[in-house]
Amino acid sequence: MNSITHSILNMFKCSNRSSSCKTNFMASALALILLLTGAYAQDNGDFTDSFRIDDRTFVNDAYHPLWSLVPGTILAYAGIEDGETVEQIITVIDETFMVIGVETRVVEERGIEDGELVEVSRNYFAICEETNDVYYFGEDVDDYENGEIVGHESAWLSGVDGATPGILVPGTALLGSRFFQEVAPGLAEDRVEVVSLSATVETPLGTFENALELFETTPLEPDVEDTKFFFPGVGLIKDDPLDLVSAVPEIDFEAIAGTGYNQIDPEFTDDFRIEECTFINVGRNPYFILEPGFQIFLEGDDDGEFAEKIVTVLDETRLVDGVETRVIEEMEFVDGELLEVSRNFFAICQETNDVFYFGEDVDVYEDGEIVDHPGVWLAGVNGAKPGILIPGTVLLGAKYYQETDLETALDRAENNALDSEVVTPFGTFSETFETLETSPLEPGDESIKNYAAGIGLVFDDVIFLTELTEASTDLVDSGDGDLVGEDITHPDGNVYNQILLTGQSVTMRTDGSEI
Amino acid sequence: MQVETSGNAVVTVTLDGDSFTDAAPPEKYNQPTVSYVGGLATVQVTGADSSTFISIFTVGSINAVNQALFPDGEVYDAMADIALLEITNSAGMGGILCANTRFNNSTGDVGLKAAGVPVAVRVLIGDIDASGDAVPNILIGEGSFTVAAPNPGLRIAGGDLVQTNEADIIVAVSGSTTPGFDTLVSQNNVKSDGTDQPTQSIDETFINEDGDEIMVETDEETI
Repeated sequence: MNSITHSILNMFKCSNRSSSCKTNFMASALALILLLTGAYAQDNGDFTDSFRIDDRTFVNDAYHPLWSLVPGTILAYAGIEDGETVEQIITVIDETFMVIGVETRVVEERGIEDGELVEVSRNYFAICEETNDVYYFGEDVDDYENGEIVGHESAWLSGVDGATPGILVPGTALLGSRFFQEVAPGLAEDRVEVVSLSATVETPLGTFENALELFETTPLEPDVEDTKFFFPGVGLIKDDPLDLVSAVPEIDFEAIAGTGYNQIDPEFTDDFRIEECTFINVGRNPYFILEPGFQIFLEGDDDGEFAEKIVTVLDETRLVDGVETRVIEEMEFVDGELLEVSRNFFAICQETNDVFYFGEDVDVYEDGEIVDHPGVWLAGVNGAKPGILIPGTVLLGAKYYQETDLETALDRAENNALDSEVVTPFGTFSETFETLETSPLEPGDESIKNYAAGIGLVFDDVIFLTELTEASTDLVDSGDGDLVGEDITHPDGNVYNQILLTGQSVTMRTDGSEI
Repeated sequence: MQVETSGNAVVTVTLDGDSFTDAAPPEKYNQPTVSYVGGLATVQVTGADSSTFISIFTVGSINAVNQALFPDGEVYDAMADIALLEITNSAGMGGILCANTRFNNSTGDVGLKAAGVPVAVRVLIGDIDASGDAVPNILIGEGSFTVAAPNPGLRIAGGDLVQTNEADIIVAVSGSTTPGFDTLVSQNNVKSDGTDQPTQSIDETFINEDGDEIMVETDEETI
């Protein structure tokens, strides 16, 4: 058997001989900030190998539904391979280890074959507080024979010999996502693809329905393949031939019944476990700014016509499906004539930084008059649920629904690239994130969008970014003006703010009342 | 001059450099603690929609909350002088309320330029007067005035639209012969100091941006 087949962590390497571990530990709460010079250049083709973790905050003792770092958590596995019993014990221990400035949690794994200890590895993890991704920072490995250490095969550590952290499991599991779990060139390069959110997994403990399935490979051993299964609230449940056989805390099967993923489409993610989200309607993720006043202008040639789009984050919210969402207005013009105005409703999941799309109102104009309302949809109506417009962590290959109204709006996206160069009148962006959008309601239609970090949409099919207006928390955007009165109530009942021009020019924005 | 805006909008007020005067206490208000800059203004609006209303006016004895501002016997112009109100990148406007505004300048565009921007309720303009080589405009989008309201439509309040430079007034964009309004109504007005302005007869020539004459129906009202 190859090194990947039995492994549970990178323990891939160690698990040539299945191993097991045990330990017990206490928790210590730590929040850490990682400061790296983080490029997003991808040099491994189809798999994401560089992650935007600059300035991210990490915790090392938090619960995660797929890979808990709460000290004292123990998962034990057993199976038969080539006629031998193999066991593995994973223990989250009460110990931390500093790796490239991050205090990571030590997770020990012990591998046992036919009752003999063959490997002990210490693996270093931390959870990104902004995205809930579990990052893997490296491992130390002790290989045992007859009770003595005989080697340290496969050890790697971020910051050493070009190694950087990989993602063990993402905060939001999206079908098709491809990413490296280990980024240690030549040493450890395990990588995975999310192939299913609907797996049924039999274990000695019971049957898990709708589990996450990861398909693993490594460029270091091209013929090696492995499949692992995770279940929310439990963690790793199967890594053939190893099955989960016991867990601390104990698994309550009654409590977790029906808590797996609830996918309808086997290819594009439509269950985002939104129930685990706390939503905010002001904020940003690397590719999307949801701050009132932020505005982008795009224009270009569309089959000989001059197309323009203005996207404005409004100082306005709307309650949709129980969530107070923010309204983003999109105005589209063709040859100067207003064609469409849509009001789109967004909120950001605080736990994962995913940008969720809750619906839209659409007005189509002809000669200045509204003539139609196509594509209108709202989460909570007609069976529609919120979709993801931009994931908190952008991973190559991820496929997900942006709209989920079966009758009127089913746009879905696939993450095509993370380093596409886009040249716009506003500037050149060398590492944009590119999506391919399709819809089962419009077979054959495809649309490409590119998003630049810190800005958002820079290319939309045929139109390019030409200008942007930064969001402002101030009523005075720019120029010379003093806010001399705030929330003044006029005798007529109107409430207004008052700005006094103090120089030659001032740009102001309304805050929903008056200026 | 005061600019009031409600609804969604980003508003820029820019004073012409030649006429700009530094901040100083007002000469005709009892308001020594506040300093005002001076100059001929251009007002630009973006990001507006049918919820957006803009008013440009002067604070005078008939509309001020603080009546102590006005010295007894003080005479003042009681009209806001600006060059241009320009509305772009907007889905529409609710209303444009400039009855107390006199648009004037001797260069560039003068008046209201809101090409392609429909106005839902009404447009009120005090007067427009282009001099020198300035170009007068009353441009709004087609499909305006769809919301039923008292005194709707495009209205010139107290002004006569006579252009000092005798220029024709642009009311339609290039290639179009249709202005954004059906009828131009002339009505009476009251300035912010209480002075009445009777309804004026309007006898001007209207054109599109190409210089083609546009026939405009006019009407006179006293309200």
